[in-house]
Amino acid sequence: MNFYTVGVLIPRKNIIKTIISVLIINLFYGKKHTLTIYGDGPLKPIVKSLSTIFDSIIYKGYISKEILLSKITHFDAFLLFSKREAFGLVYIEALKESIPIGCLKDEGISDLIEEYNLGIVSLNSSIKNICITISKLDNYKINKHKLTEALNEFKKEVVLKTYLNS
Amino acid sequence: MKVYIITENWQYSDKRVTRVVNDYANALSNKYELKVFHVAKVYPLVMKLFRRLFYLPLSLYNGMLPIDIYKNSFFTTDEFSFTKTSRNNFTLKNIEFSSEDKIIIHWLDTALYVLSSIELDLLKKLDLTVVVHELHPLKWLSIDGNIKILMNVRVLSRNTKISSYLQDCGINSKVIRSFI
Repeated sequence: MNFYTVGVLIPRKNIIKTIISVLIINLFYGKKHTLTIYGDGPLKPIVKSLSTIFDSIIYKGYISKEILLSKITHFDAFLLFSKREAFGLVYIEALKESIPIGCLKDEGISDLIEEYNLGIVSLNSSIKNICITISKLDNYKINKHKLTEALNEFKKEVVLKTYLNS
Repeated sequence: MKVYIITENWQYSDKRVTRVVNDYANALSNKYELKVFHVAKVYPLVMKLFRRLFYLPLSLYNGMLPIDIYKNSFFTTDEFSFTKTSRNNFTLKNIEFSSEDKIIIHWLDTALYVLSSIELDLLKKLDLTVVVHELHPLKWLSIDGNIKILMNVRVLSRNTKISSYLQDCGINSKVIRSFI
């Protein structure tokens, strides 16, 4: 499977753990998963080094939102096990393209992902649990009807109605 | 009917937040009399120095620029009333509310700061909504007064798992999922 992740390369995004998890699954379970990483940040040297060592890790650097949206369509799943993820717009961008998500429980939009079966939620950010989540995403498909229902919750009129309690 | 928005981050350094707040404010101002209070945090000199000294580790930890966040630029509009004030000087007690008015407070820290200073009777009378994008149960439960707030205001959050957590502690909360 071809996974991708997007974000500022900082510790709380758990990018390094995600890379290690993909490598473990490839090494011990004979899978040929790839992980493409978009983003820039303090951890860039480490991510870049890992991408030069392992063929399955592809580092693409910073990418603008417009270009990103055109690139993600050929990926099979989106991985971001970020902590304290407030908005999680990248999750919504993935959902708009019907791409299943791997994320952390109780972060960002994990409520929605669990309720509408839009991906797999990891119980915590341990490498063991991230590995389990990635394995469960193998050949995971999103139900289009459920996805439409979920995306309705983001409509401005729906949000405004809740916002004003009307 | 008036809608009061109280927020710590207006014209935030993070453009995504600015866009969200501006979008909804513009949508509301067409229907309601909108009043926005931008209550900015003001740091003491020691804290400013600390933040500047530890700029790099804080950036690494938060993934954002900790010094620049609160350098909110001024915002003026003809569409609605906008007041910028320091958080220390802001209190709900000075505002005359009618029973129909709605008060929406953005961000957990601001809500706790503003609401912890008002009496329970007033808290119950007001139509209050707190919009928290990240809801940490421990933060709510760390101060006794927060329970009182949590039981009497609507909380909009992207994640509603906290309500079952609080239910286990015997606290009935009004946490509603919202993707603002």
